[in-house]
Amino acid sequence: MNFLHPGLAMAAVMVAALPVLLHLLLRRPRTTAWPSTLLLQRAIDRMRRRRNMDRWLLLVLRVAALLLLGLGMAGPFVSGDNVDQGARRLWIVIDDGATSAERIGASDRSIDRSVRQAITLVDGLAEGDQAGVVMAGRPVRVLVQPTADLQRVRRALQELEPRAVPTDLPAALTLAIPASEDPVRTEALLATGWRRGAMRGGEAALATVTDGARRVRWIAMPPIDRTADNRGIVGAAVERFVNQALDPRDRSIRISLARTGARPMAEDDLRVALPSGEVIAQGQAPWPADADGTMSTITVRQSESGAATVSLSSDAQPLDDTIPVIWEANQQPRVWLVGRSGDEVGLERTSASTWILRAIESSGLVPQMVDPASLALRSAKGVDVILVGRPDLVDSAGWAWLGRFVDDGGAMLLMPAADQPEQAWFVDASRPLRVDLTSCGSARAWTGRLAATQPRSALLSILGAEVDQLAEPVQVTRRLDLTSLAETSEPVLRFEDGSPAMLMIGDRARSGTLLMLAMPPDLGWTDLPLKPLMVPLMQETVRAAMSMTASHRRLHVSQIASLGPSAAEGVLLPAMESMGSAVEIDQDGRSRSPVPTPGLWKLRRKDGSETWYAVELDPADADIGSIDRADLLPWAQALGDWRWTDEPETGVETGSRMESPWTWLLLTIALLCLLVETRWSRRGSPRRTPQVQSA
Amino acid sequence: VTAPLRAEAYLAPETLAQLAPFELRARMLVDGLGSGMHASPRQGQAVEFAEHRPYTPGDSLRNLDWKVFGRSDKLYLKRYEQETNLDVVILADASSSMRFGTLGMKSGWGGTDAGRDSGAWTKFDCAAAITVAIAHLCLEQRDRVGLEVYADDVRSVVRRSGAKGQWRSMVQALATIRVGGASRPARAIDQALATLTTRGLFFILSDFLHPLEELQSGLAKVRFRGHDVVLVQILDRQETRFTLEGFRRFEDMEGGPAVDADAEVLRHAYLEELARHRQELQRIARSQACDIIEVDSHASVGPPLAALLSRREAAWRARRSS
Repeated sequence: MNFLHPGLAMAAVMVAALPVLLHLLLRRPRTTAWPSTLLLQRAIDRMRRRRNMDRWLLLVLRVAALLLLGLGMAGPFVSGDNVDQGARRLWIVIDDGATSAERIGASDRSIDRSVRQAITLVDGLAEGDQAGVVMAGRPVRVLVQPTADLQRVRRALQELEPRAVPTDLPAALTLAIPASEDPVRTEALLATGWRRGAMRGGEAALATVTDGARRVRWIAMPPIDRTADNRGIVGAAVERFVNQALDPRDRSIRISLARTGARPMAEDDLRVALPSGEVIAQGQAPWPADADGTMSTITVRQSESGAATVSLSSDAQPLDDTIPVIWEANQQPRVWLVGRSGDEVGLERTSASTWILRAIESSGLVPQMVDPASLALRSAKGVDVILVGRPDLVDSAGWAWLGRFVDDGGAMLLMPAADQPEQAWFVDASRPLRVDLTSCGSARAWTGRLAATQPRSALLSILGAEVDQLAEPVQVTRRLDLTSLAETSEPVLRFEDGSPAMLMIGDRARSGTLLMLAMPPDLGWTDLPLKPLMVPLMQETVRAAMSMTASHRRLHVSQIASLGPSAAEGVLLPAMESMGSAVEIDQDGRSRSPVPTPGLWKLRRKDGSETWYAVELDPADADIGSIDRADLLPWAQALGDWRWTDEPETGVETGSRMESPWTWLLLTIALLCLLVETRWSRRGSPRRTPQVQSA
Repeated sequence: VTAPLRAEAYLAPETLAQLAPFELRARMLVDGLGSGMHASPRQGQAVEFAEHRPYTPGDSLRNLDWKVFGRSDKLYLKRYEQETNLDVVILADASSSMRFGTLGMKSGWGGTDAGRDSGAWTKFDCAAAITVAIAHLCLEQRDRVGLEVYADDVRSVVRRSGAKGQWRSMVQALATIRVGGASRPARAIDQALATLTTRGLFFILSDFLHPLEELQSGLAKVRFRGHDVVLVQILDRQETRFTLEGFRRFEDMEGGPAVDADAEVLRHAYLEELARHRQELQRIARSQACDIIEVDSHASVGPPLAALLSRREAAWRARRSS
């Protein structure tokens, strides 16, 4: 059993000792001269046993009543014993997450404010008291184990710097909660600015710490109540140019910005810098009056880097002023075509694989023909896109291999097997690809065209409105019905009856891109191979899928990175040494430790190939929007004994306290003890005075 | 040098007024030596006819009722009752327990050894007041009254007398006697019986807070001699209500063992024990045909004495009328 107010419990024990002392003192009798003790002695002889029992029972009742009263008022709760032995342990839960970087003065940051408060409390500790430091930036960790060496604690606090990571206060609180058998009185300082970014999901996670938290006296810094003047980059997307006249290495970066507080600026300067720090482009972001958000596009020309950082001038929150972006490098993509080509004579006998091969070759790409039967024996390292022209020849091991390829970030285009209406391969492919292809049924004859108005998909965005003109002449004589997959997929092409002709099949767990055609480029199904759409469709499918895959190469800071088998036993290297040390990748393609800082990181595989990864800090985790004290009440209620540092110790907010059910139980028992004591003690008083009638 | 004793300071005017309507009557025939207001079994000159009895040879002819002989030709002798005075013996307990008192000294009271020491109105003061009142009443009725003050032995004796100075002598004895020691009524009773040859009236004043076997045997002797007895039990109000509190050591004023007890816890049992003791005393009194009255030392002595006298006078009148 623990107490919200151990001091009161201590006082109760001391008060409960009073009756014992009084009893012992009263046992020294006052001398009274009495005419004759004859009758007293007879009375005592008769009631000796009852008298002794009464006296002790009264003593027990009085002690119990006082003790229970005191303990009840001390707010007991059961989750282990906590005996106050005098020494204190102060846990300093200090928020070093992204919001702690906020500038709150000319040379003052939120973390500096927290450190000052923590040192003030440490200075107030007595000799023998212990202090420990827990860092609330993810991953939370104990910086200093509880120690009586307070000077060491001060030094550790003074060296703290904010980190560009999310804040995880519930996990940090858990580290500060003592074990139930720990007898030391524990206090915990919550040193944070209580910014919105530090509180993401915190209330829901609090449920995991409420039980043990009641053994701790929580001291919280008040929230920073000013609204910061801040601008930040909330997103960036890399796009290719539609205009083919420009260099294919050119890219445009579309940047989204948001702002809070005062709005004195009409525009912001933006810079795009290579990982080396060289600025390769600049631009302006105009701020419409009274707008909270804006967008800007910067063109990056002839860049072969494939990775850069976009930044704006630093302000109140420096950690949301930079964002890493990557795109497919100017290197030649590696494309596999899974199929067979051979004795093909005449247009009608030309296989889909051959049509695809020819369409892609014209763009300068050199696909590698891979036999379907040998897929499982090959390594996917360095492969960007796989086009499956003969799915009917892929065995189950091959489908498992292809499933992993897409999951690990690869792009794959599927199409029906041209030679047979029944697509038996659906059964083997559905499970590894996590798509129920069998719901599409078998191919059936259908005469029609592609729709004159096609959807504006991201995949073919570079074609723009031209795709309508290209698609309209394409005739179809046989097709699969992909309608059952349309609900969770993005349509790329449609037939004139509205049903999907090409889909980008979505799956959040999949980091790669999976595309599906309703008909193969085979003249037995469609005249697509003979139409102008064929070449740009295949080429854009390859390029856009690669671009999308590159955009998937985004990791979250302070999390374990899952990079897929192709990254096995590689290493993640920061673009700049100041960002941290290398992170090793295990044989399953997962990082052995969380990626410590946001920015550009380069994956160096075991075979020496390198790929850029953008490690991001979610802008919401750096949000320095303010929170009112009243909105923190759920925290105070969940944690129990709670006070603000700017309030006196006795000024615990009423709303922040939760009465223990034990309180009422103990108070009720105490009341019963008092009632019984009153009744029992009256047994010694004359209930009726015996009268003797005169003779 | 002690201040001269003022005997009048021992008899309160209100007590006199309360007792004035009554006469002290013995419940039996008494053998007084002088004439008085009490019936005597002896025949004398100043006689009142009692009864006839048949003549037997040898009887004096002086009391022969000639009128009856003339009417019935039978010889009867007339018998007469003699009205005589009464010998009253007051035995006053002066043991240590009689020094107990929780009431402040009454103003105008002459004082006794017990009261002067404690500054309180003790049970012995109360006993002295009753003794003085009874003695005054007796002397007023021309009865003879004597006093024995006892504790573990007879401490003081004032021989019976009807003289005017008798009352003052008794007051003197009560005012100066040392109060203390154990209570042994048997010796006082024996000594009183030894000096009393005629039937008289005994007043025994005590708290009777001692084993009652000795009192019972003493009363049996007194009754065997044909004396009338009135027991006066004097108790302090603290003894009858026991309002003490806290853990106390009760030290016996007569030298008995001390008792440690929580007064509040003990209260009920003590009061039950006191009631039982009083019932035992009343049983003994009934068995010996004794009168008994209880006197609260905090209250005036007049009302209980007046009640006693009234009761006895009513009994006397009833006997006379029958």
